[in-house]
Amino acid sequence: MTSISSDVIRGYNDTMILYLLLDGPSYGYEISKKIREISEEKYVIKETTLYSAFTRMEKNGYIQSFYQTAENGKRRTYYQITQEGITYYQQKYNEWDLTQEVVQHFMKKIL
Amino acid sequence: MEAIRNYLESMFANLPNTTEVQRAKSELGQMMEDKYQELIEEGKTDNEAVGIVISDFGNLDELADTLGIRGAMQAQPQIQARLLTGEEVKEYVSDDGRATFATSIGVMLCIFLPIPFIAAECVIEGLHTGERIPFALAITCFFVMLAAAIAIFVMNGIKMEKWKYLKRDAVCIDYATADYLQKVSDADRSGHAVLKVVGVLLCVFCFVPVAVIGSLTDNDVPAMIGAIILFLCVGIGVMMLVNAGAKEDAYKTLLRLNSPATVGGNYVRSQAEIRYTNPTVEKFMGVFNPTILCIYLCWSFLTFDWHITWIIWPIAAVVRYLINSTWGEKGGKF
Repeated sequence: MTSISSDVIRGYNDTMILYLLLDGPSYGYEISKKIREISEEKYVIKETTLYSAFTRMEKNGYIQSFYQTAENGKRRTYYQITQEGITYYQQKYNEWDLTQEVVQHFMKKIL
Repeated sequence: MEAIRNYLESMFANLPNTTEVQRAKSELGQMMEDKYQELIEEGKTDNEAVGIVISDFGNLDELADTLGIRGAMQAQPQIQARLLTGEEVKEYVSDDGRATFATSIGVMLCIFLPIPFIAAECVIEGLHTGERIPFALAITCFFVMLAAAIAIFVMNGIKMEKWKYLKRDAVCIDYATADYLQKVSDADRSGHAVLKVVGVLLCVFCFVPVAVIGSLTDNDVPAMIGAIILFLCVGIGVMMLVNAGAKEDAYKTLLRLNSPATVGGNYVRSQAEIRYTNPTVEKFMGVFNPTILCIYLCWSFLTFDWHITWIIWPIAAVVRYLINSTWGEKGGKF
């Protein structure tokens, strides 16, 4: 069975997280759950990967964190996308568009 | 859930105790908890849920650069401390408890040493017997008690020898053990407080019988009986005081094994107790209580001014407060 190579996906973890944050602020587990659901269980992001992406992007100014108490009374760290984050996402989108277009030319199914 | 918490704590135990690391730990813990809860709600068993959460955790290596702990992670193999097993910990606590109890009995015997002579004096004065037999008995009693006390001290020294490595070697305890110790320590606290209070009261009021008897009669024999009661009170009081601190010390010794510079050093609230910035003050405060007791007893016995010597306790309390507020600072907190 094919599984996703972590080397390849690594460059796109940030993009996936930012994509989800475009819809509004969210917290760690919710994001990891959505990634799993949207990818139809084909990609499960590790907790450490997710957290390191959060800290990296926060440092770069793409996201901001804030505390909020959830409905069940739990205090959680929420993340929201910044203007720089949106710009960065746009760049990544264009980059991916180009990348997949280029790489696609070299892909064919061998029967 | 406990298993997940233990897993997370052990992953972080040897990392530096910094804000970034603490934040990472609590964030990751939150994500794991959320995931675990949802898996349980989906109908997974506890074991399955724990298995999934731990396998999805990932690798701390990924966080090394973001947390600035690359150096610490590479240095780990060298500072690897041996983890004490739960059995070792329990054995140490019980050994230490027994040793302290024995010590307290030894100390009590030492304080009781004058009693045979006073008793002999009583018998001679009160019953008008010859001097020889009571004194011979008194000396015998004296040496038996002294020998017993010395034997106890020596035996204790030998018994506790095997635990020396706790202070010498690099050993540490895991989160589950620290949690257990914290719980038993909390459970013991009120009992110890009672012991401490009764012990102090016995020491402070030990002169009352002597004073009362002295004011009622000029006769020597009742006065000497008062003196015997005094020694008994002090002996029992000191024994209680020594015992009161006993287990607490064992717990603290164990809980302090983890370096406060690492996350593992955070397991304990007792780390939040007062620490002293000046090493001399630190040493002095370590022997503060015994010193005060010693001064109190010496002063009282040398001058027999029992009516005023109690003043040393409130003074000591004030001095301790002043020292704490000048050189003390609260240690790290969770």
